[in-house]
Amino acid sequence: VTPRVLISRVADLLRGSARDRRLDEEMRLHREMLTEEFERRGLSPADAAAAARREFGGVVQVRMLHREQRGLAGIDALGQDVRFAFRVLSRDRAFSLTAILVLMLGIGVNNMLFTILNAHTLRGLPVPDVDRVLHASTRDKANVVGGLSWSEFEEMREGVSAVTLGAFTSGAASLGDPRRAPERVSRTFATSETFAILGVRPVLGRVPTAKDDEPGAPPVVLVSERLWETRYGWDPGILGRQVLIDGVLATVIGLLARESGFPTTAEVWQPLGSMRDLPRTSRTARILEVVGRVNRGTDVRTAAAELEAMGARLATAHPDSNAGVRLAVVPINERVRGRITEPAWLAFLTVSFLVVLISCANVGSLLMGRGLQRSREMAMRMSLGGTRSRIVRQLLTESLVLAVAGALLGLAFAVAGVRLFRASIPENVLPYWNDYVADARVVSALVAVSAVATLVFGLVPAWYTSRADPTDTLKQGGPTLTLSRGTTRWTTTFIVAQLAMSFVMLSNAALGLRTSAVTLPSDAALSSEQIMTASVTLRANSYPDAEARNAFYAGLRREIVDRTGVQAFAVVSTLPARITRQLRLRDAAGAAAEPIAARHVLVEPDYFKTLGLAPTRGREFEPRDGEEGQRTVLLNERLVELLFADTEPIGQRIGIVGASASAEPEEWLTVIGVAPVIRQHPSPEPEPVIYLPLRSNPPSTASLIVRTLLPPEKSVALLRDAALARDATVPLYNVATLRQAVEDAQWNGRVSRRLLLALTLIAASLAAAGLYAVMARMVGSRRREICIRTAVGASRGQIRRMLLMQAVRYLAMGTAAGIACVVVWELAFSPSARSLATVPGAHLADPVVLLAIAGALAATLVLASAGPVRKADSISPAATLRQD
Amino acid sequence: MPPDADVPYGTLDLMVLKTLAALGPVHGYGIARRIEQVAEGMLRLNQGTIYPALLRLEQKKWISSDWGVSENNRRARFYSITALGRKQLAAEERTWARTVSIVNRLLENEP
Repeated sequence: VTPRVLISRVADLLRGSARDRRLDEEMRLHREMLTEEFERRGLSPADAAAAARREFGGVVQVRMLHREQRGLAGIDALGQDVRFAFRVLSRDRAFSLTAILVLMLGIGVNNMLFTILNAHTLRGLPVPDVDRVLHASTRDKANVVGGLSWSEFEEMREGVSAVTLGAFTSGAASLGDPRRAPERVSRTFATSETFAILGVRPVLGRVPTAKDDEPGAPPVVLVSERLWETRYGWDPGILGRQVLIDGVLATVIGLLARESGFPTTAEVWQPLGSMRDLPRTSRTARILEVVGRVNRGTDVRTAAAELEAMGARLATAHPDSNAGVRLAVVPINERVRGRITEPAWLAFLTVSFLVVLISCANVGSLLMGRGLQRSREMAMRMSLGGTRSRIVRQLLTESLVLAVAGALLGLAFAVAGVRLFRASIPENVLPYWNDYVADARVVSALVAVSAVATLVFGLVPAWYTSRADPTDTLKQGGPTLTLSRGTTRWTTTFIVAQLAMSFVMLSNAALGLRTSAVTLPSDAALSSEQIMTASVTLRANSYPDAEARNAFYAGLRREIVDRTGVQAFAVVSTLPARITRQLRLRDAAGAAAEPIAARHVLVEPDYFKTLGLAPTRGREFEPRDGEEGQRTVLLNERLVELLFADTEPIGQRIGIVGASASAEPEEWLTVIGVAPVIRQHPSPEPEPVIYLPLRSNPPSTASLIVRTLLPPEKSVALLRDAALARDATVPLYNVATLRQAVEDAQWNGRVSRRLLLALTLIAASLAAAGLYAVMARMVGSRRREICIRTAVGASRGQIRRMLLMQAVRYLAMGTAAGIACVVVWELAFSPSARSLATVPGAHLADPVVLLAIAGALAATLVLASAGPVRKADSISPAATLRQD
Repeated sequence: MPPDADVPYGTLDLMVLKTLAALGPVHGYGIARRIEQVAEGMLRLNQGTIYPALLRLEQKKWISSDWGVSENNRRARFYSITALGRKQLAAEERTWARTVSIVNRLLENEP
């Protein structure tokens, strides 16, 4: 069919009725002329008309031929097939619903995982012509990844011609303006070329030039639209306005779009030349991220090679600083987005396709069972002239209708799933470009997966079903196609594997639930909405030493504690649920042979009181704790268990030791209290923690916690107000209720737990559907046997028992395989399994859990078998055998 | 050839094209009559099958059609061959002649 013919066919298709009228008119004229001709030859009018009809042939046939000629090849037939498929599928609702739901789960999970994968790795960064942008980093002898130092960057910039290089470094800055609370924002210092390389364009104003980038140039800054709105109130004179950044006045030269700034989502950009503490001479201060855009006319790979060769030249030119330091140059997409070939993503991809494959196999199994029931229909069609390919096409159309329904529901499932996944991740954790949207790639993947799935689950059953020999089948009535021994064995293996997999996943999920459901007595306190938290960072030039920092925290305390509504206030180095560094401890009495690792937290007096907790023994810190001669500590209950299992801990002395176990600690610290266990780690297990007085080593970054009787927004205002009064240049950030802060800290574990649980439930549902399919198929293939048994006197109950026995066999094999897998799993991964199993009595191969899972599977089995068994009940021996 | 042979498969299009080339614009009845006259009763043509063939040729732009008035003053659709159709006809005549000569030679060699 040439395009020309196709066009005229489509045109004819569109004006179908006009064409029909034209043809009718032509045919009428033709027959009239024929009749007249015959009359001229001497026939009577009636005979002439009859002769004309004979001569002309069938009018209806001509009309049909004409119509077929006009339509698009097969489009009519396809419409017919689809209509028929709908009729067939709506007749057997249980089957269709099961198949569609199974496909929905398979395609939905696949699409959901693919959407996430796409957002993280496949979709490129929002950088124009991103494939021509390279990222350079260093690997030292120990293969530790670093940036480049300023001198290295300058030498590279001069020595390389194929690539335009830029460098940047990101951090935080404090925006301070007269009569405004200071604000902590993310800031990027970048060389002037960086803006063009990364495609960072201002919506208003300009980017820095090379002149702005020279050391000593008047400071300039670009700010984000968000800051323009929230901080500068849409000031129309924003360009040219002077703003105070880390105590330095800079002129605003441009505004950045809300969603820009890559790969950092910095809100403030400044020329790298104006960075005051940029180490210009040190060759080893590798703080710069280096990016480059390959110049026009150069191949990207050649350019990357030139850069890496430059790195090798540096290593020979500066052996003392660069020996063994390698330059790694990769496309920036790969650097920031990761590669799809990384093991984690490959696992993700594998799971996503495994789920589709399993659902396809189950639907295929369902279709096989149905094919057995429809063998008479197929035989009838064949005997009426249906070719095998026509029947396969019809059956595939039915599969396609199922797949389309499954894909549509699957898309809805994926969208909902992705939304849930997104909602589990706190704001600001993901950069703005990491957007989980169903873009063209996701939709194409959905279409492709559904199409391939249709063939995978539809083709084999269609082939088998259409194999029926019409004469035999119609003569015998019953299905002549029994399943081959190999197919049956394969089915059994498949169903048992699915049950075993469900077993492993369910016991894993049960363990996960049990461990995450473990609550510590302190958890209730931590979810309080009455506690507000905020972070502060003291700059080294304003607060150079411990004395200055202590003075700041003491002053802040004075500002806060007397305000109305405040119940308690404390400064702490690290909030609960956040990870802290570990220290190694030993006790003076030498009760523990090995030093014990414990996380350490610096706290002010009233810390536990602010949280609504109290030491279980002894007392909290008082203001004089941490002074010279008053070196005191609190240990949490877990640490006390490890260090002083049998002795009274209060009054004991412990020391902090270095890396070597034999080293004497610098000083001995006296235990004055035992603290309740508060999580300092995302994992559920209680960990040893030591609390030291904050004043003994005041950190430059700390968190404030305040317990008030006020509504949250009033507490926030109170904190901001107090901080402003104490030092107007120190901004508060990460302002959140303690509950929110704890939840945000634990998001990673929460998300993976949810994902695991969801996948587990889906796997179990698929296994249930698989069982249903196999049972339905078995009943279908044993129809005649059931008839004969009934005819010779088997009762309905006996038939049921016989069929259920088969299901029980599957269950027994599945349970045995499942338990075996769980035990093997636990043995194989015992270190990690044991570390999860710190909850007393919780481990993977827990007999109670396994029994419960087996029970649940048995219940599922009964449900899955109910339909097919009832179908067997309705098989009437009289009717079936009469057909033979 | 037996007296009432069916139209050999695929040759109707060629016959229609040839008829149109010989007669100029003519309606469906005229085409059918002409083919039967030339065949002198040796061909059994279901005359209705002409119309799908005409549509097929028209879709390929080998013929064109327009309304006109028949010899006995009735509205009829008149078909005529296009330049593209003439080229196609020439090509098919060559192919046909070649096919016939090959088949003839095969048949003559038969003992």
